[in-house]
Amino acid sequence: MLRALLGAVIVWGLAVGRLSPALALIAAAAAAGLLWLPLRHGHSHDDWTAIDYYALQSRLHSVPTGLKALTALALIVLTLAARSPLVSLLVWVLTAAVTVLAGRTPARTWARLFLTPLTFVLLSGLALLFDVAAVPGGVVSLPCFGVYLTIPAQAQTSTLVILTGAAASVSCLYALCLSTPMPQLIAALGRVHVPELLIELMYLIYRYIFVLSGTLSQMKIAAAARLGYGTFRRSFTTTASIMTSLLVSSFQRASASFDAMQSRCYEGKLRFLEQKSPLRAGHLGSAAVLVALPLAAALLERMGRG
Amino acid sequence: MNPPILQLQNVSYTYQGDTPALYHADFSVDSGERVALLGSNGAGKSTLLLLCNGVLAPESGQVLLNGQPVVHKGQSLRQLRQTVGLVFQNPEEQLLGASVRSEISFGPMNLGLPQDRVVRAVEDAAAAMNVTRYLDQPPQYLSGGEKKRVTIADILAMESQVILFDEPTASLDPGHTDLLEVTLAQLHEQGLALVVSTHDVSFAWRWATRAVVVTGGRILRDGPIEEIFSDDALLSQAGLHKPELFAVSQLLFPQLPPAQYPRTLEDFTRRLQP
Ligand SMILES: Nc1ncnc2c1ncn2[C@@H]1O[C@H](COP(=O)(O)OP(=O)(O)OP(=O)(O)O)[C@@H](O)[C@H]1O
Ligand SMILES: [Mg+2]
Repeated sequence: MLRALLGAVIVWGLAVGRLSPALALIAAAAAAGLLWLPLRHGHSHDDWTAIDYYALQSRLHSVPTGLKALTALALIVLTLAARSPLVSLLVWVLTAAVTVLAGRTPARTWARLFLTPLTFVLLSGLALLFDVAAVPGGVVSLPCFGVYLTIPAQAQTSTLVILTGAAASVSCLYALCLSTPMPQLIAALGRVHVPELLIELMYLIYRYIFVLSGTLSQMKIAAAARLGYGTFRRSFTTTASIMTSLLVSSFQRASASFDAMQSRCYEGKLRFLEQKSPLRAGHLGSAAVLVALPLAAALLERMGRG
Repeated sequence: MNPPILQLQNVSYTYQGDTPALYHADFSVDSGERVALLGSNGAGKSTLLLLCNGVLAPESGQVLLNGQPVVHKGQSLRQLRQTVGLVFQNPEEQLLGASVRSEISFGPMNLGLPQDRVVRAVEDAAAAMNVTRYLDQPPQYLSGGEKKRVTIADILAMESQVILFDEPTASLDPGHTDLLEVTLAQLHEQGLALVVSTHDVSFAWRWATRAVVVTGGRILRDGPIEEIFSDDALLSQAGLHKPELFAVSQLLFPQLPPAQYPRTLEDFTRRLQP
């Protein structure tokens, strides 16, 4: 709801003065409609574990992590350096296509995940777009409590650049996250010499997020079964006591897990075997094309301008 | 005569306070044995298993590996933990790796085996436990029975000679319990010594040849399983039931020695037919 409203305001703000007033309104309405649509299907509570789950299902999960990470990084750098809505749009479409068509992540999942950070992006867009001035100016001035909310033409351009850039970068990151299970990402960080302690911590956190969230949901169900959430007051105390016992059970679990690690000769260093996926020419070629297309677009645009 | 692979002599252990969880325990296991560890909740079964594997150090008494006393540190301790593997009751406590492959590799990697031997050990163990399909998946998306098989593969990959199971059937449905029994039979055929702590007396009667009864931190009796289930006074003292098949057999086949009582229902019906 908020997101649809924000989207409409931003789109209108970007279009006004450039398109005819009627067209600007239609564009705003279309944006609101688009942002409203996926909401109607309800949303899932555990998107953060869903990402991990879809990454595993992805057809791209056997592509070497290093290649995927480098490609995503290259595309983000390119987007930010080009400062061109056209290039951003191209990157956005390409990475979304890779995720949905090549990786076979369901389009609706992708859309839902993509919209999650969008509210924040749109909010910051609002701040970038509007200016407060004592006198009317810019392409539009709205009187408001004795001052004017204005949209300078220059702000329109820069907001468009920033918003499309942000959307493209988010899409790049999702292309990486939705095709690379967390452990592989962590292993890749280990290979580029992120400190070992940090890597081990990330492994353990990743592993125990699932254990603890499982315990938490069991406790919640058990409490609900005993009418623990009957009134507001009651649900407050129930939540407090669930958190306390989650803490206690985490300690017990930690000590039991430590026993289990020791029983397999753990001596202070986490060591695992890693599966290395081979680098295939096809993968390398696709990655090259993926980067080359927006790069060419950026160069052409620059030449056209200069 | 060779000394047994693992031997506990007069071992005591106290967690906190002053009631010991285990006192003056004498226990040994040798290759090819199938031992059921019986006892009610809080009897001290898990404590005994943790001492066997060296996670806990005995407060008094000593642990011997192939007749040599274990010093509770360094190479000696590593040797004990490798030779005697422990499968924990709750897979969530044991599972650690981010994928099944890295999970199974944890033990052999800790033993410092060369890379290619780790790869082979992981693949053999996964094949033996029928989890090869899941090697590249994270363990959290597996079912309870599959997690159990992965935790057993963890130990197989360390090439242990004795495997201790802490209540392996506790979280399994009947179908998975049957699968586990098949697994145990396979491991037995490979000549491994197996010790299983359990509350399930019917399972113990089907599977074990020897039983150890623990109660209140003491080992009450250690002997052939048919002798233990024949001893009503012992069973009631330890808070254990008699397997139904065993009780019925006592009534129906008074002429048979208890060792020849049927162990499974099929066996039993066959015996009833003329
Ligand atoms: N980590 C611990 N800290 C303190 N006391 C413990 C701990 N673990 C076990 N105990 C105590 O030691 C005694 C023996 O426990 P143990 O876990 O060995 O029993 P068990 O036979 O395995 O029981 P169960 O069938 O319930 O698993 C119990 O009285 C228990 O309360
Ligand atoms: Mg126990």
